[in-house]
Amino acid sequence: MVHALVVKGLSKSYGDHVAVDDVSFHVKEGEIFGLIGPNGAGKTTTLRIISTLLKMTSGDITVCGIDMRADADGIRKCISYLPEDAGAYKDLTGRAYLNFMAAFFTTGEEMIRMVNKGIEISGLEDRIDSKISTYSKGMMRRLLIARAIMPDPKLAILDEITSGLDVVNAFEIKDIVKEIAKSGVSVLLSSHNMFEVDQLCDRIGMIDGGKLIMEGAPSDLKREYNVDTVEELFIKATVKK
Amino acid sequence: MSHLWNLIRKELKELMTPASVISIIVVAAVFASMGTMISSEADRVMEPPTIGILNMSDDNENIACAIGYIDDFYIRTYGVPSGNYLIHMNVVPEDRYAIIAWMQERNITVLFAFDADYSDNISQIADGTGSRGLITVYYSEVSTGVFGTVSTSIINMMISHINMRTSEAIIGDLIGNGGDGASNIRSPIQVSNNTVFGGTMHEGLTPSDISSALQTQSFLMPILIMIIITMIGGMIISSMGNEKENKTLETLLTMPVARTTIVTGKLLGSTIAGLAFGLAYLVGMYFYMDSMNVGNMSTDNIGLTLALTDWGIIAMMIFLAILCALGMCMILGAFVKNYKAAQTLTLPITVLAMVPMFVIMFADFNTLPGVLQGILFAIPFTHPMMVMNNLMLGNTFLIWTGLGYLMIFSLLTIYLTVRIYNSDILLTGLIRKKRSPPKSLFGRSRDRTK
Ligand SMILES: Nc1ncnc2c1ncn2[C@@H]1O[C@H](COP(=O)(O)OP(=O)(O)O)[C@@H](O)[C@H]1O
Ligand SMILES: [Mg+2]
Repeated sequence: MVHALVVKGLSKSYGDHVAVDDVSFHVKEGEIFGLIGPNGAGKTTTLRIISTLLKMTSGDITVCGIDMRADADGIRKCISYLPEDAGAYKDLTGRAYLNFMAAFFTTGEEMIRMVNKGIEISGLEDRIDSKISTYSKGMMRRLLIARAIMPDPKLAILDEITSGLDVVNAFEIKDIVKEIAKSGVSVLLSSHNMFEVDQLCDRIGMIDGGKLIMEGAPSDLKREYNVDTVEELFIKATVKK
Repeated sequence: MSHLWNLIRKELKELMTPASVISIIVVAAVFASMGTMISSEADRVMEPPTIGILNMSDDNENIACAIGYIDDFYIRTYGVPSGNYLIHMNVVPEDRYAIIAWMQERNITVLFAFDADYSDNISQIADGTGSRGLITVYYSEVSTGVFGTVSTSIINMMISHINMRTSEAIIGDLIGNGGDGASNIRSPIQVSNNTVFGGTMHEGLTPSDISSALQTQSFLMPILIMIIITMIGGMIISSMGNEKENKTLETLLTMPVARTTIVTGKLLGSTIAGLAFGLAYLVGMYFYMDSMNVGNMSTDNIGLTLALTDWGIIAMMIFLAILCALGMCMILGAFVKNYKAAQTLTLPITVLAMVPMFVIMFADFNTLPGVLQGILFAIPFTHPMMVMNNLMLGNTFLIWTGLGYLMIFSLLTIYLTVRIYNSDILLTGLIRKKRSPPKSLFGRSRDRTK
C-alpha cells in the first residue's frame, strides 16, 4: 500500500541556519498525523516544503507515490495546504471565495457540487454570502478548512489550525478534521498544543530544534515512556536526548 | 486559459473596488470640471461687456471720438456695435460714492469716467503743451465679492485701443495724413518671424509660439503617466502586501496552476485596471487641457499632427511602461512582508516616475547633458512621457530605441518575477546571513521570530 506521504532525510537551511535537520516520517492513508513541537521547531518549514512552497536543501519526499523533485505540479494536484494564520480576500463573499478556489480544480456541474460541499463543511449557512471582512476568527477558519477539503485532496496539510481560537471553535475545527479523516483523506497537521494532538492524532512526530525526536501512536509512546500526557512525553524525550 | 481568466477576474475585483473606482472618477471629474470652469470663463470673456460712461466735461468732441473707438473695438472683438452695451450716466455725481451707487443700482461693474479736462487736454497735446487726458475706471462688485462678467484684461485692451487710436488721430492731424502714415509713425518697424521646426519652415511663428502649442503634450503626458504609474504601482504593491499578510498568495501557489499563469494573471489584471484608470484620467485631462488652449496656439494650427500609426506607438509605449512598472512592483512586492510595509515600498516607483516627469515638463531631452540623458533613458517611464513630442518633431531614433528598450525591460521584469515566484524568496524574503543555530527548548532560547 502506498503511503500518503513519505519524508526521508529532509533538511532545510535558511542561509547557514539549519531549520529542519534530517527529518524522516510517513503518513499512512486515512490517518491523522500530528507534527508537534514548540514555536520555531521547524514545523511550518517542513509543511511548506511538503506543500511545494519551499525547496528542500536535501532529502526525498513522495506524496501519493509522486516524487517531489520529479513532479511538483503533480503533487499540487493531490494536496491541500492551509497556512498558519491564513486569511482570505476580504472583499469577496465566502461563496465567491469558494467559487474562485474551486475553479482551479473543475468546472460546470462538478464545480457547483464542490462549492456546495464546501459551504456545508464550513457550516456558515446564510453567512456564506456575507463579505469575508465581516467574519469572526472561527468563521474564517471554518471557511478556510472547507476550502482545503472541498476538492477531495489525498493529503490535507494543516498548519496550526486551532491556534488563536477559543475552546468552542477549536472543538468544532477538530471535529471537522476527524470527519475528513473518516472520509478517507490523510491529514498532516502541526501543533504546538501537546494536549490537543493527543485526542486528535492517530500518530504523532515530535520535533524540536529542527530534529524529529520521537514518532508513534500517542498511546504507545505514553506507555513506552510510562507517562500520562503527551506534554510529559515531550519533556522526557528532550531531557533524555 | 480559464485559470488565467479566473485569476485576472479576481485581480480586477480586488483592484477595482468601489472605493478606488469612485476616487478615480472624482479626480478625473475634478480635472474635467476645472477645465469647464476655465472654458466658461473664456466664454464669458467672449460676451460683450456692459460699461457705464460718465462725461464730466462740457466739450464733447474728443469724447465722442473715444466712444467711436470703443464702438470699433466692439465691432472688431464681438461683431456687434457698442450701442446697447454703453450706459451713459447723465446725472452729475456729487462724489465717487455716488458713481458707485449709480453702478450698483444698474448692476454695472465697470465705468469709464472722462475727466472734466479730458477733451481740452487731448486737443492741446499736438501743441506740445498741457497734460494727458484722464479716464478714471471704476470697478464695482455687483454683489459682495463678485465682479460680475467683465474681464479686466478686456477692459485694459479697450483702454489701450482708445489710447492708440487717439494717438494716431493726433499724429494724423500733425502730419496732415490720417491713414497709414499716422500708424506707421506710431510703429515704424514691421517684424516677420520665421522658424524652422521639425524640418519645416513656419512663417509668422516664433519658437515660443511653437512651444506653447506643444505645451499640451509636454505637460499632459508626463503628468498622466506619472499618475497612472504611481497609482497602479501602489495598488499592486499593497495587494501583494495583503496577499502576504493573509497568506492567500501562499495558498494560491499550492493550487494546481502553473506559476507563470499566476504571475501573468496578476500582471494582466492590474495592467487592465491601470489602462482603465489611465483612460479615465486621460478623458478628464483632455477636457482640462482642451479648455486651456482657448486663444492659444494649438498644434493643428501650426501643422503638427499625429497619424494613426503614431497613436499606435503611443498606446504601445504606455502599455509597456505600465507593464514595466507592474513588473518592478511585483519584484519589490515579493520582498514585502505585510500591507503596512508595502506602503513604504511604493516610494522608489513614485520617485522613478516623478524625476522624468519634472525633467520632461521643464526641459528638452535633447539639450540635457549626456549623463542625465542616459539616466532618463534608463528609466522606462521617460519614454511614454516624451513620445508625443518626439513623434511630432520626428525624433525617430529616440522613439525606436525607447520602444526596444521598453520591450526588453518588460520581458526582463516578467522573467525575474516568474523566477522569484518559483523560488523561496517569495515566502522567506531575503535570508540574512549569520543567524545563530537553533537551540533546543532546554537551551532556553526559544524561537526569535515569534
Ligand atoms: N524566512 C526565514 N528566514 C530565516 N529563518 C527562518 C525563516 N523562517 C523560519 N526561520 C527559522 O526556522 C526555524 C523554524 O521555523 P518554523 O518552521 O516557522 O517553526 P515552527 O513552525 O515550528 O514554529 C526557526 O528557528 C525560524 O526562526
Ligand atoms: Mg509554525
